[in-house]
Amino acid sequence: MIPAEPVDVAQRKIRRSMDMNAPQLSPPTPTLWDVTGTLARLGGDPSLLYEVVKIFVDQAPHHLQVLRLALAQGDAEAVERTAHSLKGELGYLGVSRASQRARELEELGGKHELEKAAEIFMAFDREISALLESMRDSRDELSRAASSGKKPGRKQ
Amino acid sequence: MSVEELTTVLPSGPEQPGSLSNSVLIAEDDAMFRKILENWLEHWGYRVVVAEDGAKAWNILQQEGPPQLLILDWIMPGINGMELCRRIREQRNSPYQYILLVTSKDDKQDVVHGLEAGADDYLTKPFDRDELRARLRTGSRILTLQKDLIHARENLRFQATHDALTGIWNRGAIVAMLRRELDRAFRSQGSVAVLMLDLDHFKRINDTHGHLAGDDVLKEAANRVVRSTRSYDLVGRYGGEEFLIVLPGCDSDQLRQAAERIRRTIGDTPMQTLNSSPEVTASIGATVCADNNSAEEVLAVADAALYQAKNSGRDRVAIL
Repeated sequence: MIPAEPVDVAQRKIRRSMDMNAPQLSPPTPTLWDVTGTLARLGGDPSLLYEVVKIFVDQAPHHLQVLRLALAQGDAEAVERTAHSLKGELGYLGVSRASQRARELEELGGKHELEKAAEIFMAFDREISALLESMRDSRDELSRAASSGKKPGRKQ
Repeated sequence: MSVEELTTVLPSGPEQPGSLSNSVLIAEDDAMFRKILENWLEHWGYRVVVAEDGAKAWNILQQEGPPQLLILDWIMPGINGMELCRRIREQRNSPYQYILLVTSKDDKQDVVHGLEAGADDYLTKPFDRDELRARLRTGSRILTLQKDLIHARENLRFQATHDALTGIWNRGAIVAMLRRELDRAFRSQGSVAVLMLDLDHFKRINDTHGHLAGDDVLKEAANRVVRSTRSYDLVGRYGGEEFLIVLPGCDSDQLRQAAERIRRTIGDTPMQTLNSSPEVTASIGATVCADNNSAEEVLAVADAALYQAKNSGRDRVAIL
């Protein structure tokens, strides 16, 4: 049920954008997020994929800010809670490494080990920023795929 | 179940077929997962209500006719999924609500606690679309089963309290309600009028026009009596061609008028049966309860009054 062409186009575009970003990233990230896998998880619905990515792109900076503030203020519970949300979302989007880091942040928040958490957060912050950039770059493609894709869902 | 319980009026509004087991509440604080769930469920034909946190979910559940299929996220600010489960089960809602708890994959221990708190099933995040759909179907199936059972119970409840031929209260139910009205009148120092109505020469109708015509006459007589009384008056079939009518709040000043109105509704126009239009009259014995009368006492007085009405020529009202 996956409308092949538009998504392929989106993927190509995303790969290209990652290549362009690669030199600026340290360490270089081989894949930022799993478009194909996420689309499959969503039932092959490109317009839902677009909406989901949009929500993530809109909200992740806020989550990061909350995390940053919670780490600065020593609010371990907020670290745990926010990292938990990000862990789930990143896992769903197939961003395995960042999702793993979010899990570590969540655990460290739970153990009130905020100094260690702050160290991990630095790398996490960079990864998410790169991810958001690549998602923003591919948003037009996703949008086109969404509007040219078949009306999703009604099929079983 | 006693007749008193059977005759309590249920707060069951008009039920739209399929509506209850088809509406789902999603309580999920994460905007992304909320969107995914909402999108899928709507495509699957569910009516979806969303809540961004546990407190909002709880408010929705307190409203009239809440969803019966609930998808609750385990971790939410304020009231979390487990706490919601516990609160819902404490309320012992009827009809039963089916709860699907959503947990993270690495919190297996939560599943045990969640099921203990009253969840029916669980789903781990990141959830699989097909699995979610299958689990929702399981919930719907159980809710549909429940709806069918409730429907069957309501049918039995109706049959147990109503006269099959005329559709009015049967003897057990009308006497139980008479007791209740007498108690209520005694407590509030109000009054209750009781009328025993008997169709005159009913055997003759059966003999002349046949039993089917006799049944039609009974049905029409019941209809006419119900139509000539107020919505809160009670009409039941007491015996073969004998009806018991209970008029709450009716005192001795109003009794004569009320009883005459009922008598005339039977006798003024001929009955309509399939092949005939027999003229039927009714005799009525009536009384108003005095302080702390038992149902048996009131019925005995009404019966004696009916006997008097019959003896003094029928088609009349006698009051004792």
